[in-house]
Amino acid sequence: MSTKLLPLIVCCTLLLLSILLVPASGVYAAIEAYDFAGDREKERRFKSLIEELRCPKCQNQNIADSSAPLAKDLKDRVYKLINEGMSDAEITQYLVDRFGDFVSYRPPMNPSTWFLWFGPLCVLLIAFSVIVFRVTSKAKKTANRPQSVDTQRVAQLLKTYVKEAEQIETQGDSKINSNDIDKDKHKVSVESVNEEGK
Amino acid sequence: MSTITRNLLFGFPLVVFTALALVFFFAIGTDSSLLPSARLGKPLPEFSLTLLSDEKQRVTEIQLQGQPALLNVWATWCPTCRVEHSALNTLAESGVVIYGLNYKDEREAALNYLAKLGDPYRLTVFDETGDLGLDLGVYGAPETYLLDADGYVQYRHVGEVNDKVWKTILEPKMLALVSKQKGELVHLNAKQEEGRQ
Repeated sequence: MSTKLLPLIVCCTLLLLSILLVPASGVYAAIEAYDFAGDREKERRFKSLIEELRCPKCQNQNIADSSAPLAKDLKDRVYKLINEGMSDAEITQYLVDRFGDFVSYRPPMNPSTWFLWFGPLCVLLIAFSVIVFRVTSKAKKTANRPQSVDTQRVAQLLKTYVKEAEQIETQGDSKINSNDIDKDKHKVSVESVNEEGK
Repeated sequence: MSTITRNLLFGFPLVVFTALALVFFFAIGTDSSLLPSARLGKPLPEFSLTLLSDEKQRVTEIQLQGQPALLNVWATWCPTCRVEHSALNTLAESGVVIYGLNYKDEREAALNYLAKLGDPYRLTVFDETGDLGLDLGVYGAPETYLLDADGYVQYRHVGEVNDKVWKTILEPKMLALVSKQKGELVHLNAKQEEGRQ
């Protein structure tokens, strides 16, 4: 029995080891070299700033995620500026002055970024107006149909129709001609119902 | 739905598609990693660093003024710098003033590099920490800045400088700066003459 269980035990041990070891390596990678001497507020500002600043070298990465030497230089500078007492806005402006609007993941509003700011809104408005247009034109179409049917009147009409049909059957030879006439009659009365339905 | 609105509704995606196709077509071949310098039209940042050739001698931005010049950001760890080096040598021989900014490098290695490949630079600023580079907005070597006589940044070229780049981009801009400087000098001389009279 122990030989049967051995592979299972080995597998479980390996699994357990991998679970234990993988997060450990992650923890080591996440250690930051920036010490704010216990100042939680500065640390929080530093973290949010480096996540909002874009690395000019490795585009589409913020300087927090990037391992490029330039991203490290920028983090060092942000760290230094925070400790010098600069505000978040001042630090962002400081880097924009050097690297342009590109460096910020919150682009300023100016003619070259209008498309960026209002493009999605325009697309949304267009989509919305198309939907509104389609729904209203559909509603107009359905408005031409009778909205409600007077069931009592329909039942009454059916009764008279059946009665008339029975009469025609008893009338024998003349039934074909009179039947046609009655059918026309019925048609007229149904249309009158529709008219009333409106 | 009338035929006009129907046509409009069906034509709209076509219009959007055509517009996008045009935008994408003209974006082909342009390198999105090239960024315009935020320093354009502004003076060089103030700095006080040492010369690459002499660690005891300080150099500041004032020493880069006086005539239109190129400021070439380079390093020994940068392969493209090596590629463009012979082009810089040729330019320097033809009389173009080029200053060097040795960026995040080792002094010893940089001096060896220049001894081996030739030194096109009138002087080279040694920016070991990359602080000046950061103030200048350098995001990758090589970069070449065109400075006017007052030390203002007039243009930045990112990447290799070769004969084609010089002929089509840098030389026309430099000539314009030179003629502007001459014009200002003539203007200044005339003013001085007037003052004397």
